[in-house]
Order: sequence, then C-alpha cells, then structure tokens
Amino acid sequence: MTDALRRGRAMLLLSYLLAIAPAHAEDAPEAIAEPAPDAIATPEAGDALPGPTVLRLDQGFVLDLPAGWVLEEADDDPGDATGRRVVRVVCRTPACARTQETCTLRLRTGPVEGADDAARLAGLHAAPLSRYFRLRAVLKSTSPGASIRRPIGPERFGPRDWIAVETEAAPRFKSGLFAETVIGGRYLGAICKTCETGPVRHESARALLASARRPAWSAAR
Amino acid sequence: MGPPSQDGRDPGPVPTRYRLDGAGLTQTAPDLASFVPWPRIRGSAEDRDHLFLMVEIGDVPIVLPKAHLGEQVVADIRRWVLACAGRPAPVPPPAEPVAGPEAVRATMRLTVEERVPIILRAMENPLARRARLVAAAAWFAGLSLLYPALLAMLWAIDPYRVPLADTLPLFAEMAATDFWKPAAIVAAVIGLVLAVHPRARRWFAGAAAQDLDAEAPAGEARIVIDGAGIVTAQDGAHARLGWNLFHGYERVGDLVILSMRWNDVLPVPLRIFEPEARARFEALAERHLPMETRAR
Repeated sequence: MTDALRRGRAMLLLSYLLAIAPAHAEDAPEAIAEPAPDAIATPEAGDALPGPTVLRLDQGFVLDLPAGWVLEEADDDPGDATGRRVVRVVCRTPACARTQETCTLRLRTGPVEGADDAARLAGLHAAPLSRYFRLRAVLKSTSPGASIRRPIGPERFGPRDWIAVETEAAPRFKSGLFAETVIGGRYLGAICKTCETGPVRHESARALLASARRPAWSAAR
Repeated sequence: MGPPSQDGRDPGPVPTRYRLDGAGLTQTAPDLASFVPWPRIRGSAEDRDHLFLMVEIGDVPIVLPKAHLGEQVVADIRRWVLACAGRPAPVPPPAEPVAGPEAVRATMRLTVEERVPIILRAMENPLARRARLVAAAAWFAGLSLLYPALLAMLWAIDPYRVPLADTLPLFAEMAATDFWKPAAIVAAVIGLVLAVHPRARRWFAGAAAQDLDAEAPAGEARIVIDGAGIVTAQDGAHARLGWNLFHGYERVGDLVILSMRWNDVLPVPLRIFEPEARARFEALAERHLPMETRAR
C-alpha cells in the first residue's frame, strides 16, 4: 500500500470523524425548478437543436455530446471544455424540459495508481469503508432522505467498465447516476441528474458516458 | 464461616468458641483446638461490624462479628487486649495436647523455597483462574469491538445516514477486511499476557516468600503426628488439628501441602523426617485423607 493511499484513507476517516466532507458545489442536491411556463408554451421551434458535438476536456478526454446537449458557460467553441476541472453539460431537448437532465464531469489532476485501467478502477473503491463513504457522498449529493436505487458496482457503458451507483431522490429532488472510470491512468467522474422517476432513466447520460475516450493516449500506446 | 474451600465445596457453618483468659486466646471448633498466648497477640482492631484480633501465628487475623458478641463481650475483649496483648501472660498456659509414644515427631522451619509453592497454590485457585479468563475474554471483546462500535456509533448519529440495508453488507465485509485486525492484535497481546502470567506469578511468589520469611518468627515449630491428628506448637502457641479438619494432600517436590477447612493449609516438608518417620507420616496421611484428592 502506498503512502499516499494510506494518507488518503486516514484523511477520509478523519474528515468523517470531524463530520466534514469535501463539499463541491456540483455535489449539492438539486431541487426541481419549475420549468418556465413560456418555455413550454412556446417551444423555440425556429431555433434548431444543436447537433451532436464533440466535447474536448483536459488530459485528452473526448466525449460525444448527444443531440440537444450543450456545454454550460461555453465560449465561442461549443465543444471546447479544456482548462476546467469540472465541466457541466445540460440537455436542452423538449423531452428534457420535463426531466431537466444534466451531467457534471470531473477530472483529477493526478494519475490513478495501478497496473492497468482495470486494476486502477477496481482500486478506486476496493475497501468496503471507501464504498460506504461513496454511498454516503452520493446520497448526500442527491437529497435528504434519498435511497440507493442501484447498488454500487461495475457497470458497462459502451466499450468501457465504470463503477456506478444510482440514487432515488426524495420527491421534488433530482435522482442521480454517479459513475467513475479510469482511461489510460486518468480519472473521469460523472454525476448525472434527472427528474425522471420512471423505470427508464439516464439514457442519454449513459450514451454520453459510453462515448468517453482519450484518443491521444490510445494513439500513443 | 469462612470462604468456600478450594474445591468449591461449601463446608457450611462451623460453630467455633473463642475464650480469652489470663493465659491467652483459646479457640475451639470441631476437630480443632488452638491456643495463642498473650505475648503472641499483637492487639485488636475494629470496623463498624467486626472486631479483629491480630495474632502472630498464621497470616490472617481472627475476625469476630460484633453482632454475635453483644456490647458487653466486645467491651470485655477490648479490656483484655488493652491489659495483656503483647505482654507476658499472668496465668500459665494450658498444657499442650499429649500424643502417644508411637507418634511421629519433628521440628520444622520453612525455607524461602518451600514458601513459594504455598503462595503459588493460594494464588492459583479455580476462582482466580476463572476470574482471569473472564477478564481476558472481556478485554478481548471490548477492545476488538471498539473500532466497529465506533463506526456503528458514527453511522447512527450521522445526519446523512446511509440506509441500514445498504450499510449492513459493507459492515459485514469490513468484518473480514478490517475488523479482524484489531481483534487479532488484541488476541495476540492477551495471549502474551496469559503466557507471561505464570512466570510473573512465580516471580511474585518468590518475592512474597522472601518477605514472609523475613517476617516469620524466629525458631522452629514442633510438629507431632499421630492417629488422632496433627499437633503443631511454636513459642507457646499450639494447635491440635484433627484429621477430619483436612481434606487434601498435595505433593510439590519434597513438600507436602495438607489443605484444611477455610482454605487454610499446613505445609510439611518431608526433609524434616527421618526415613522411618517419613514412612509412618505418609502412611498416616494416606489412611486419614481421602484418596481422590491425593493425585495431583
């Protein structure tokens, strides 16, 4: 066990003992905002939905934004999300007027240690204590009184294995899909939220995550 | 009267008479008659319910419950002790019990080495052993459950508590990955303590034997053994111990430990006997002591 890992675990326990957890703004529970009435009454028929966009992140990560999804706070180039550690993409399709789907992508500055990506991914939450804190974090991020909809575990999005967990929010809060993967030693985390309460959720979010890749790293290999 | 015996058998109450007179303290109970002269009585002490007579013979004081004595008797005892304790007796002592000519006679003084097994035997009784095992089990349970209990407590008071159904499997998994570690360390430490304990007991018994030997009155005790029992005498004090008083015979090297009622013991080193006397002592002990407690 490396020193860094041990220190990280100690910090984890310490922060728990002190009842403080690293709080990120994007982790906060999202209450459902009432859609603006005129947005439903007069759909912007004239404005064509943005077509599929290739989203570029730091560390060479690339994702395909599904049709109707846009990068928040984009500059001139709607596909350029470099220079950010936290990237938020929002669904703007008519269907999303009801579900208000969003995804927050998060990078880490340092690499993940491990022999290969499978080992690195498995190492993210190898310890049960780490999985416990993960559950606690995603429930906290979903809403008060949230429950686990799909237990934490490996899930395949497209060609890649992720570790994912789904939450069921209390009424009037957004439920979440929390997923993490490692590509070429680099961490990519995603928090996708939706108002959908039916059995089928996060379909376009899954498509978005399935498209995650690092072409520069793949070419270098 | 008295604690349960070593084997856990409660002998039940035994009526005992105490008599203070000009010669000293005479104690009479079934199978037991003892006399301690005034010079060997150090004094008395009291608490709310008891009167203690401190005597130089034997390790423990004589304990008398005040409730059984009555105020007048307590006051009389105080007066007698104040007047006579530690001083030459005004009245000559009663005659020592006589034994037949066939009795085995010897004089003895315990060596430091012979005191060690007696102290060890007193420390290592079933009650002490059980108390030690209970304590070890309690320490083991308490210390190895400390970490899981801490986590469980933090879980219980957590404002963002993870539902129990999601927590339990993880806790069960932690039992295999994490919780066993403190348990193993605690078990190792307790095992070490239990392993070292006999050594520590022996060391302590050695130190205590030195102290007891230094405190013991100078001179040798006389011991006379016959078909009725054993008579011991030293410095004017004497006791007649009937065979019925004894219930065990234990051999530690060259030392015989005869266990008595009230958890008392009479140590008899075999080295004090001539070969022929030794054979007669062993024959007498074998005849009068229950055989099942002999083998140990």
